[in-house]
This record gives sequence, C-alpha cells and structure tokens, in this order.
Amino acid sequence: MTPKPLVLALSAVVLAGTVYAGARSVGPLPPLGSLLDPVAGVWSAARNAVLPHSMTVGISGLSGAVEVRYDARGVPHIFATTEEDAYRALGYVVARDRLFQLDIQTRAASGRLTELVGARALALDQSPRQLGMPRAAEQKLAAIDVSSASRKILDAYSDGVNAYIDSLAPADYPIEYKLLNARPERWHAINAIHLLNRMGWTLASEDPDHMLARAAALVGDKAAQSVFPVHTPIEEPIQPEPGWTAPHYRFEQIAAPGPPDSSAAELSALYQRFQGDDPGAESHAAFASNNWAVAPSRTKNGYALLAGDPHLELTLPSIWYEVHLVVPGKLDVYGVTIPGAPAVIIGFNRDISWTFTNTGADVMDFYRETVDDAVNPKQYKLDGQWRPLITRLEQYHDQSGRLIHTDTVRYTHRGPMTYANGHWVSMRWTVLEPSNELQALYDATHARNTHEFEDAISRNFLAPAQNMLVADRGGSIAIRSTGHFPIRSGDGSGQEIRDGSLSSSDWRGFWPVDKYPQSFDPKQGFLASANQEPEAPESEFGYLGTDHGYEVWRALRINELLRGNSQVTPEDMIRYQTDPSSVRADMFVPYFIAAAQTESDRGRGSPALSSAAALLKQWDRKYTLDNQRAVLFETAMQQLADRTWDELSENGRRVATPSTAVLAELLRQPTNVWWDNRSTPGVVEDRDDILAQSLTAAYEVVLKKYGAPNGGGWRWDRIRFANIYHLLHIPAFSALDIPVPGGVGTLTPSSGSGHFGPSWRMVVEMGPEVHGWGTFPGGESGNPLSPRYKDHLPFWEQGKLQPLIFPHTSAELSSTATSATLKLVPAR
Amino acid sequence: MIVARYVARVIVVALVCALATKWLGWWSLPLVGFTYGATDRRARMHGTIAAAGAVLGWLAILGAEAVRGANVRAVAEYVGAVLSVPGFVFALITLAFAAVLAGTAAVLGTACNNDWRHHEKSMT
Repeated sequence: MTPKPLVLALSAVVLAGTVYAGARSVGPLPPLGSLLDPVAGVWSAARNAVLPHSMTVGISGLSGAVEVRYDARGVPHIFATTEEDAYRALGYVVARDRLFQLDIQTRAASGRLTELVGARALALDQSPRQLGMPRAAEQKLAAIDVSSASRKILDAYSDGVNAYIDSLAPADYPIEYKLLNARPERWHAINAIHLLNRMGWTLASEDPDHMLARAAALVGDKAAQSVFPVHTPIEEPIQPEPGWTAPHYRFEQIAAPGPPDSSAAELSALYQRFQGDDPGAESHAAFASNNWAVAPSRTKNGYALLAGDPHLELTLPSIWYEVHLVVPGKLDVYGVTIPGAPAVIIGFNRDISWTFTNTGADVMDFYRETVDDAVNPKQYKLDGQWRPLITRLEQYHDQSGRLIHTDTVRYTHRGPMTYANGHWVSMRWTVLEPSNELQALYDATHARNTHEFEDAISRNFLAPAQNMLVADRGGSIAIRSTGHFPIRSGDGSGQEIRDGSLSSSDWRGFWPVDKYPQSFDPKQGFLASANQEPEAPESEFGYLGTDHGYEVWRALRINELLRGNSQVTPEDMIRYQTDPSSVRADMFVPYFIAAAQTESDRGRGSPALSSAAALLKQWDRKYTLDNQRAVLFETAMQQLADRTWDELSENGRRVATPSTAVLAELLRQPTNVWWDNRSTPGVVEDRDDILAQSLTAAYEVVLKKYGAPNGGGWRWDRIRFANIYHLLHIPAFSALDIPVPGGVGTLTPSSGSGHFGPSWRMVVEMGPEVHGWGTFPGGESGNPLSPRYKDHLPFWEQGKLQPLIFPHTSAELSSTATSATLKLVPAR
Repeated sequence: MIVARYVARVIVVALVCALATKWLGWWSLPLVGFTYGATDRRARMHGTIAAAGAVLGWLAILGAEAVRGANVRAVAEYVGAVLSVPGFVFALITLAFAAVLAGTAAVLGTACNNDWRHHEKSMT
C-alpha cells in the first residue's frame, strides 16, 4: 500500500529536519548526530571511563620500552631507561587522563579560547594577549638552549602527548569535545611555557600600587600610606629572626584620613586597564598557601618532616596530577605535575622533598610613556630620543577558523603598552622576562640535599617568585624566597607609576641570590611560610612588596603550633593542615566582647548586642563543621570592615580594603578618626561604638538569614562550602556545596565563593626510607564518568591524607597494588 | 506466524542498523531505513519496523557497552544533567533520534517500492 501523500510529505520534512539537526549545530547544542551516536557520540565516554587493565602501545621516538603501572589510587608509576623516555611517557599518560584539560588550559593561557567556544570568550582571550603573555612565551621558548635537558624533555613530552592524540578516533575524544563539537589540537612545546606563564599570572599579577593610589585619591597620600603600609604591622617572617620566640607587633599611629588627592585619582585611573577591582574584605586571603618543615631535633622519629599545601583555584579535574617517574640511577621522583608541564612541581625524591608558597612580591611596574601620536602611536620617547614601538597584531578566530577580531598590542623595551584615561602606560613584569622554570624544576628533581635544591632553583626559577621550602634525608631544612626581585632607582619603591621617558626609571637589575629572604637549618628547628612578609624590615635588602600582598594569620598559627610541639609526628603535620583554630579570631573576639560591655556601661547597650556578645563568648574560636558561632564572628568582621573603611568607598562601593593586620593595628587606637562614621554628621564614633554596631548588625543579619542561634541554621557546614567547578562550569561535572571546615585566616582557609582552597596537601617524612602522604580535591582522571574523576575528594573533605606509594622498581608494586598497566614500546 | 515474521524483520533491521552505525556512523540509519522500505515488498508498516529496528540496534550497541563494563547509565544521567533533563529522557531522546531517522526514511523508501511495483505491473 502506498503511503498517503500527506504522510510522505510529513516523513520527508521530519527526516530532513532530523538529518539537519543531526549534522549541524542548533543554538548552543552540538550536532545531534555526533552527540547521540552510541558508538562515537557522548555515550562512548562510558567506554573510556576505566583504563584497560593491560595495554601495549607503540610510540615513535622511544629508545626503549617503558612500563607504566597504575597503583590502587590510579597514580601512574613510570619506569623508563632514559629521562627523555620517562617524560615522553609522562606526556602520553597525562594526555590519556587529562586531554581536554591540557587543551583548554593552554588555550586560556595563550588567549585562544575563542577557537574552542567562539566569540563569547573574546574578552577572556584579550587579557593574556594584551598583557603580552603569548609573545613572552615565544621569546622564552626561543631562548631555551636546544641542547639543554629542559628542551629535550619539553620535546619528548610533546611527542608523548601527540602520540596519544594521534592514536584517538573521534569516538575516543573526551566528552567535553563532543559537547562542544570540537576536536583536540596537536600539542606544541610552547604550550608548556604558556601554562607556566599562566601560573605566573595567577600568582604574581597582584600589584599593590593601585590599591594605594585608589586610597590616596580618597584620603590623601599620608593616610593611604598608613593603611596600605609597606611592612606588615604584625611580624612573623619566613626568615626567622635571631632571638625571636614570638611574633613582633609594630603597631604605629595610623594617620587620619585627609582630603582627596586629585593626582592620585589620575594615577588610579591609569591602573584600571591592568588591574581589577578591589577583591573586597579578605577574600584574597583564601588564595594562599602554607608550607612548613621541622628539623629532626623537633620530631618524634628524629627525621626531618615537610608539609606542603598550596591553596589555588579548585577545579575538576584538579590542577594537579600525581605521578612517579623512575629512571634507574638518574631519576626517582614522586609528586604532582600540572597537566601540560613536563615537570614534577611539588614532590620528593629519595633524598629531598620540596614545596612552594607564593612570595607575593611586587614584580610589576608601570610607566607613563610619551608617544608621538595619542591615537595611533608608532614611537615613544626615551631620554629625548624617539624609539620605535614594536607592534604585534593579535588575531582571534572562532571554531570554524573565521577571523572574528584583531588587536594591535604595542611594546616598549619594558613590555606591553596600553591606553588608559588619556595616557599610554607600559608595564614591566618579571613573568614576561626570559627564564627557564622547567630547567629549574628538572634540576630540583635531581638535587640530593637542601643546598643543591635551593641553588638549582635559584639559577633558573625567576617568576613567579616562590618561597621554596625543602627538607633532606640528612636532616637539613631550608627555605628561600626565590625569584627575580627588581632593584629600582630612587627610593627603590615599586609603588608608583614612573616616568617612561627616562631610562633612569628602569629597573637597575635584580636582587643577588644571597640577599633573597632565606634560612638554612635555623636554630629554632622549624621553618614556616604562609604568604607572610618574608623578612623583618631591618633584614630586608630593599623594597620587596607591601603588606597588601601578604597575610599573617596562618603564619602566626603555624608558628604557634610548631613552637608548642618538640615531638612532631607525621600525624601532627597532617592534623595541623586542617587545624580549625583562628589567631585572627583570638585577636578580634575580645575586642568585640569588651566593646559590648563598654556600650552597655555607656547606657547604649541593647538586647541584640548583649545576646550577640554572649554568643561570641561561647565560641571556642574554631571553624569546625558543627560550629554554630563562627558565622556570627565572620559576619561581624564584614560589618566591621564596611563600617571602618567607609572613607575608602566611592559611589557606595569600597574601592580599596586594607589588610586585617592593619585593622588589628587600628584596634589599638580607640579614638582614631578612621573609626568615625562619615554618614553620621554631628556624632563622632570611636572604636567601641563601631565594634558594637558591627556586632549588633551582624547578629541581626545572621538571625534573619539563618534563624535562631541553636536551631541548626548557624552550623558552619550549612554556611561555608567548597564549590569545585568543572573547567567548563558544567554543574553536572562539578562537585558543589561541599561543607568544609576552616575560615578566613585558618590554616585551611575557605573563601566565601568556595572556588579556592587547598589544592594538594602533602606531608613527607625524610627517614632512611622516604614516606609521603597526600591528597587533592579530585582524582587522576579528567573523564567525569570515570570512578577516578573525584575519588580523592572524600579524603580531602575529611582532612585525611592517603599514603603515597613510592616503589624503587616496578616489581615492588605487587599485582594486587596495581590497577592497570601500560607498556609503551618503540613504534616500528 | 505473522507476528514472528515481523519480529524477524525488526531483528534483521536492528542488526543492520547496529553494524551500519558502528562502521559508518549515525547518518547511515536513513540509508538503512530507506533501503529497507524500498526492498521489503511483502511487509506492511515499514516505518514502524525500521524505527523499532533502529531503536533495537542502538539499544544493542549500548547494551553491549554495558556488558563490557561501561557505565552507560551514568552517561545518561550526566549528559541529561548537562541538558537539564533526567537521564532517562536523554536516553529516550537518543533512541527517538534513531527511530525518526530510520522510520521516516523507510516510509519514503516504501513509496519508491510501490512506485516500482506499479511500474512493473504496468509493464506486464
């Protein structure tokens, strides 16, 4: 029977429409055919979720067979006969587990996200390009000696990544590519440099100058200098000061707010293109890290101990990938690598263990340039002579390769130049300068003691400046704040925009290594860094940075814990990493309680204030999950910052927030004019008025938001969460609303957004046999469907570390301890 | 007996759909459906048979993956969440896509089949 014409017509239309939707993208949806295909579409992600138990793959370029054994935690142990083979295999296994992450991170770092997701990423792509980062990566790569070990492993790693990419059929592409209707791009050696530059951007792009300028614009230079000081008012430096057995408080009189400074306002506007908004009260403090080491004289087992805990943006998959590389007689290193970088960044070998925290140095300066044409400059003036600007055309393409935008970025000899508020401003930044961090990390993995490590790192690790902590099997511990610290002309300060028309404004060089903040085997028997000021002012060689780039509370707590324990065990180290106590709370809570009493004595008390003070008194000053008082304190601190720094607000929005250490300094000055609330003319508030008002307001806010104090709504685990987003911010691939202990200034800090936090917790005992423990919030696999996508997360949530298996040979990994094997052999 | 014949047809179409998808991709389903509609002169409901065969073929592929240990249910749930639909709805969308491709093509194929038969009859 012939179908009726209407049925035929309808079938033809439906078929045509379905085929069209199957072949072409409709709106945000990828083509349905390639998405839904049960063989090559998203469904195939299930097939690739678990690594095959045993597999042999041929790779060209290998000089011998490489055995990769995945342990029970999914960590690959790579046994090779040459270092190049080991790194070639590393490229292969990292790509196997994290291919999409490799790709998207590199595109983000090099300003090429539009090629993956289209024009909506244009603004994101423009930032790194206008900062000159792709150009800097090209220059860095070109400067690496082709015969150097770092270049060889860079190329070997690239070969390994490409060997994996080349082996893939479209069905094998990670699920994200299918959702984006994209395909992986072949890997290039420069990608690793892009990624390291990106790390530099993350860790060393905070310039304190703009906060000072913004504050000066509103309250004058003197007051601004007072609330944005160079040195932290509470000193617990990384480099221990002889004779110090406690922190030093350098509380000085804070200058009263003065009249606005119009020249500072102009300066402030110039920073705007390079620097973002005020991060707000203390939120930047979550973007931090801890490390400490204890000498054998203060450990129970008599071996040096080291703890590392970098706090970074939390993502799924994690920024870190655990790996163990073995080349008999040459290399035996365990640790974490950033997918895309052929190096173990933090870890240990048979002799040393090491880890980093961010130094927070001021390594970015700005120059107001004189140009020949305000609109389209081609030259800039230096010492009376016109010099040509270097121009670079930045082109942005979409997924189909269509050109969607172009920018011309101009460079002086200092760096990229941008137009802001009628002026051309250039920037010099250590991250853009020639360096070879890969060589530094390569050398570090071969170091046998603390001196070899620090020397190896100092030779080539120039940016971002890091506090490099190391412990060795001989019982030595050391730390050095390593990186290029500029020597500037004049007063040496980096807190100004300099005259670009004079070469005398340029950097004079960099600090010599022996002047870096550092300590080897200090008398106190331990070393600790947590982004605090590296040296006491009297020891500092020159201007390094400012209080705004540092944070002291975690350093105070670590030092308190380590001073109080002369029999430290690995278990203590692990416990300290999630210590919920807060020195910040210890400092501020008594003032709140006393202020409530004072206000009551003055006859200005209220039931709300009394209740709030009573609740705060009950608090043990810990940020545990079941704690029901921390929320009141945190809200009171927000209220306090808002009320105290009202002079730093513009159009109802605070544009610069001094550190909490400065706020603590102000606490000692009860009648300082900063306490006065500008919005209450005729009334002069003092410290206790503001503290009491803040506490009362906090109580009312918390009561309204979370209900009765003991009703369960105030529990910390109902308020503070970690939100670990997938790289594409797909909620289904993310781990959201994870209750976490810790707050601002605790050893495990948690930010309000929950996007930042401890990214790799590691403890190592440097005994005759090295023992390590560690975990990170995620898993080894980047496939959201893999059981290894976030299998470490429960340990991270509970503050537990997992033993790290560190076998000498593949035979030491028993078959029961091996979850999968991969044999890489030279391709014929 | 008639039912068995229809079931047999569905199974054959399913087999061809599965193999064609594996070797050629999703776009082979309209070809299979059309070819089936154009060549099976004895059956009725070609569209239904082709659609059921396509669904069965793709289910067989997913079932085989599941038997080999792949967690296809998790895929449905994850991708469903990405598209803001329950996991089973995403699975139904997948199967409906296959059914529409093969079924509508089979209906069009049937028309060719009948045109050809009509032409053959008029020649004799």
